[in-house]
Formats: sequence, structure tokens, C-alpha cells
Amino acid sequence: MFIHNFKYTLKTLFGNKILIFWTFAFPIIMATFFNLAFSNIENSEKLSIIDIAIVESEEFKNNEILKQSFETLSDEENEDRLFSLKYVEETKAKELLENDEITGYLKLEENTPKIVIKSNGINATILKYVTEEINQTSKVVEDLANGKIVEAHMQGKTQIDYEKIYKEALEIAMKDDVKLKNISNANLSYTMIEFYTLIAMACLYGAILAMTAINNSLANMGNVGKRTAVAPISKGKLIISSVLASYITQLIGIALLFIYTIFLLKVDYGSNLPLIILLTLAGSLAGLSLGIVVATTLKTNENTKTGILIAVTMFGCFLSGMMGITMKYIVDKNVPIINKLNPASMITDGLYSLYYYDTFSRYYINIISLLIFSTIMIGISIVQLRKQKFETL
Amino acid sequence: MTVFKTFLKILNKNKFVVLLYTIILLVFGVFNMSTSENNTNFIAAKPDILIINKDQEIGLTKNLIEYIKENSNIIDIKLEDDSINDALFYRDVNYIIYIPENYRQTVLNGETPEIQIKSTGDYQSSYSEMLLSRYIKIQTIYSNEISNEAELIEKINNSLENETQIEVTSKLDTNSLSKASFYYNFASYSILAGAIYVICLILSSFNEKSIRKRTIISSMNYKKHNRILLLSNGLFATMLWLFYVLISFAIVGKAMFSIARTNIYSKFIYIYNVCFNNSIFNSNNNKQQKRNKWNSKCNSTRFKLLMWSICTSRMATKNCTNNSTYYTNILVHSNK
Repeated sequence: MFIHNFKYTLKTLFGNKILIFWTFAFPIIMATFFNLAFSNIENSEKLSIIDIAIVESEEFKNNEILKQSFETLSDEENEDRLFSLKYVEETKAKELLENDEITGYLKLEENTPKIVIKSNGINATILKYVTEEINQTSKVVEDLANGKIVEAHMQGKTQIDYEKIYKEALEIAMKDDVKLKNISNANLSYTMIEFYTLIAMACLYGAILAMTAINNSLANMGNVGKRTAVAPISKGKLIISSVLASYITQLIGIALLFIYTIFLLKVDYGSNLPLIILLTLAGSLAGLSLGIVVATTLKTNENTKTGILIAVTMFGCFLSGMMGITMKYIVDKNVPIINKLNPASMITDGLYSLYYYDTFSRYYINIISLLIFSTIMIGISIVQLRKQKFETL
Repeated sequence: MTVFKTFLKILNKNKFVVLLYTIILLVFGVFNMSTSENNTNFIAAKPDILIINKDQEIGLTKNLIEYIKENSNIIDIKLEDDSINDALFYRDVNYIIYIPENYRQTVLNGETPEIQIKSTGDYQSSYSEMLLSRYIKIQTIYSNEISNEAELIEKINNSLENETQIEVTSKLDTNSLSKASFYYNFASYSILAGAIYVICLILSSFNEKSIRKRTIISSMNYKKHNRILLLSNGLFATMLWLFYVLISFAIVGKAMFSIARTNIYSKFIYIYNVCFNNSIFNSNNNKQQKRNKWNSKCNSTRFKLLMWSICTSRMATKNCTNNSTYYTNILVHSNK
């Protein structure tokens, strides 16, 4: 009987095209949209080469440090190239600026650089900043050289090699002796969270499958239910086989979603595959138990139950960052308890901790929370199912 | 005319949906706009930096912290590893600087201390790194020459003070420009969501089985019936667009009058809106003819959720960058 019911539940579930669309195809379609919407967001945030112009003048040609520095910074072979540089006349520079072809231009007035920009922004800030830095460096060189010359005078030297002192000072100033060690994690792509919430959504959408499967065994949900209820077979077996069939259907859907996102959309879930599978199993179980609870405790028709499930799932996903990644951070930071109770957030956070963190403690907390959530939900359902009795239907 | 009248009747019943989206738009719009003020002077962009100081905050260490504070927004969060890492991941901070123990002493000894940093890798963090490197560089140069701490600090600060003159040519207020683009970013969502919801509801009312049957046996040619529905939908979409453009003049009027570009942008939304609605209409109509049992009411809510999620998440990520010029860039680029 177990296998019989198992087989027919599978057949009913796969035969329900609309159901299969929402649980299988919908997450995949969403993933495609997400990919279209987000694939370029992070690249556009990286610092790109800034177009600038310099007004040609005798003064500028004579200002060795400024000229050399800008040329190095806009050298095409330089790895740290910052600018794309044009030498133009002032009228032309104004025209370029007006047409948004350059961020700003630099001109020398009485040997002090002046920057003209069109509007504020990070590029304009960087242009100003670099010019200042060059100025500062030349000041430091002067300062050092002066110090050396004074020192030489003090020692009573009569012949001073000014050029040598100047060169030495320049060397000291140019020495790049800054020790910075970047210890941030390489996995910093925040758009991944969108895909994680999608997995969470797919896991929780399994609730609809479980609900549909359970409904068939409930006497108040239709003729099939009535017939099953009066049949002389163990109800436990029936329920367990239905639930198992819906669990397997759900896992197939999620496996498809994983395959699609990993191989076609190149979503990065971190490298620990067994733990990802474990999390998915636990997440699907949470979705399943949610579906059973809604199916057994609410005495309404199927459409209302579906509506409630979708609303709950969507709200959970909203809190875990599906409609805006910062939402999850805001909730985590200010009201962490909400996301500790929200199964969508547990799944998202579990995947996030696998992707971003090297330690597993946060991941295991999420797994345990999911299991506790599922146990409570299943417990409630068992109590509800056991006390179900109908005098009339 | 009968069809159009019915259309208007159902529309009248659903006017609250449109109003609801408009209210959401206005609330968000006004909320966003109340915080910024006009300016046409140069304002340096400031990255969000978190400093974790393991050294005592005196002398050289204090000076470094003050320099960073001056040039960035210092972010204050819980100093736990998880909170710090989360803040970096969600771009609450762009750059984290760990000042090591004995930083001050190491510098005074004439050595260069190693500073650990965490960075998001975007332009804000690149700029933060420039800020930090410049300071350390100047400090290293002078620390080899000078051993007196007070003198060293003075030298460093003197060198860093050097400011370049800067002139902003644009008389356009970028703030109001970004307000306009924010408004249209959000309005595109409101227009789409409102139009999809209302049109789907109206069409599904026409598609109800009994009503459908009555329409079929009526003397009216089904082509004419569908044509009138199509035109009515087009009219509705146009009115909705006009409504939102009028609101935009009320809210961000200055920018709207000063830039022809924004107007082009609003036209773009309009064309998009009408095309989109008509395509919905057509697909719905085909379904009518096929007598599909598709429940379009349920369908519309789900589709709406989908659109909503895409639109809002896009906006939220854009918000994330927290850079008003970014909006302006999007606006300008989309009109080129």
C-alpha cells in the first residue's frame, strides 16, 4: 500500500502542470531575470579609467613633476593606470567637458594647478586628490632637499651638489614603502544573496507540493479524501508515503534549479558541496513541514491555503533579502530575532555563511534552526491529524 | 461605447490600486528628497570607512585616525567579527583599517608598520586605499628624518594640507537631477505595477465565462470588441503616464523644466509602458480565444510579485551604492 500510494502521489503531483510550473519553472525564470538584472552591477562599481584633459602651456611643460606624474598615471602599459589623458587648448577642454567626454581638466595658473570639473562625484574627487598628492610630493621633495642643504651648510661644506641632493630627495619621496595587507575574503559578491533567497524560495515553495499531496488524504478536502478516509488502511502509512513523494518531487525541482544556476548562470555557492546539499535537504524539509501544517490546521479550501503559503513564503523571502539585499542586513542588524525565526532567512544565511565565512559555526546554527522549525511544524501537524474527526461532511 | 463604458466602470472600482501605488511612490519620493539640499560647489566624495584601533589613541595613531575621519564617513558598528564582516559584505562599509598594536612605536623607531585592511573592491574602496597610502607614505618619508613625535606630526599635517583649487562649471544642480532620476526610477515601477494589475483585473472580468458567452452571442463583431478594449487599455496607460509625469512636475519641477533630457526619459517610460500593456493585452486576448482555463487573476498577482521583486531589488542595489551621481549617470546614459 505504501508503494502504491507513493507512486500515485508522484503521478498526481507531476500531472498537475500549474503546480509544476510554479515549483519548477518559476524559480528558474526568476533566476534568469535576476541574472539579467544583476550581472553587471558589481563591475560597474569598480574604479574605471578616468578621462581627463590638460591645458597645454609653457608653464606645464616646465613643471617636471606634474608632467611626469600625469604621464605615468596615464601610461597605457602601467598596471595601475588611472587616467586617459589628452593635451588640448583651453577652449577645446571646455568643449570636451561640456560634452561629458572628460571628467575635468587641469590648467596651471602662476604655477599652481587648477582643476575645472562639471559636477561632483567620485571621479572628480580622485582627480583633485591625485593633483594634490603630486603637489604634496613635490613639496616633500623640496622640504627634504632644503633640509639636506641646510645640513651641508651647517657642516661647513663649501661645494654643494644641489642636483645630487635633489635627486636623492626625489628618490626617497618616490619610494613606495606602504605595507598594506588585504585580509578581506575573496568572495564578496553581494548579488549572490539574490540567488540564495531564490533557493530559499524554491525550498519553501515545496510547501505547496506537500499541501497538495496531503489534501488528497484529508476527508474534508474533496471526494478522493473521503474515499481514502474510509478505506481500511493505516493512515500513518498513507500520510508518510504522500509526504515522501512530495519531498522527492521538491528535491528534483531544486536539483534542476541548482544545475541551472551553477552551470548556466555561474552562481557561486562556495566550494563545500556536501554541506550545500545538507542545507538544501534541511531547507526543503522546512518547506515541506510548513506545507503540512497549513494543510492540516487550516480548514479552508485549497486556493486559500495556496494563497496563505505564497504570502508567508514571499514575506519570508522579502525579509531575507529577495526584494533588496540590504533588507536582510537591516533586519539582521536591528531585529535579529525575526530572521532567527524565518526559515527563508535560515536557508539564505546558511548559504551565505558557506560562501563568505571560513568557519562553519554559523552554518550549523542555521541547519539546527531549520531542523527545530521542521520538528515543531511536524509535531503540530501530527497533533492536528490525530484529533481530526468528522460527523458530517 | 458599451465596451468602453464597462471598461470605465471596472476601472472605477479598481481606482484604489492606482492610488495605493501613487501613495507609495509619493511617500518614498518625498522621504528620499527631504534629506538633500541644493549645491553647486565642489564636495568631495567620502567613502565609508571603519577603523579598528588596537593601539593607544595618542600621538601618531590619533593623528592618523583624525586624518581618516576628516576625509571619510566613519561608520560605527558593533565590533564583533561577524558584524564587521557582514557590514563589509553588504557594503555598509567600503574599507576597514586595522591599526596594529605598537603602531606608534614602530613608526617612531623609523620602521614601516604593516597595516591590515579589508576592502570591498569598488571605487569607494580604491579611493580609501589612496587616502591611507598617501598618509603612510608621507609619514614614512618624514619618520626617517625626524624622531621627535610632535614635530613629525606637524610635518605630516603640513604636507597634507596642500589643497588644489577646483572650479565646478555646471550650473545644473546635480541633487535635483538625481531626485528626478530617483523619481522616475520608482515611477516606472509604480506605473508598471498599477497598469498590469488594473488591466489584468479588467481583462479577467471580461473573460469570465458567463460574460464571455454573452459577448460572443451579441451582435457586436468580436474584432470590434477587442479593438475597443485595446484602445481603452492604451488610453488608460496614457492617462496613468500623464498622471505620473504631472506629479513629477509638482515634486521635482525645477529639474524637469531645466533639462530636456528628463523629459525624453519620461517619454521613454511612456512608450515602454504602452507597448508592455498592449503585449499583456494581446497575450490575454489570445488566451480568451483559446478558452484557456488559466486563472488570470491569480496569474496577475504572481506576475506582479515577480515584477515587484525585480524592480525593488534593482532599486535597492542601486541605493546600496549610495551615490547620487550614480543615478545621474544612469539617467544621462539612458538618454544618449
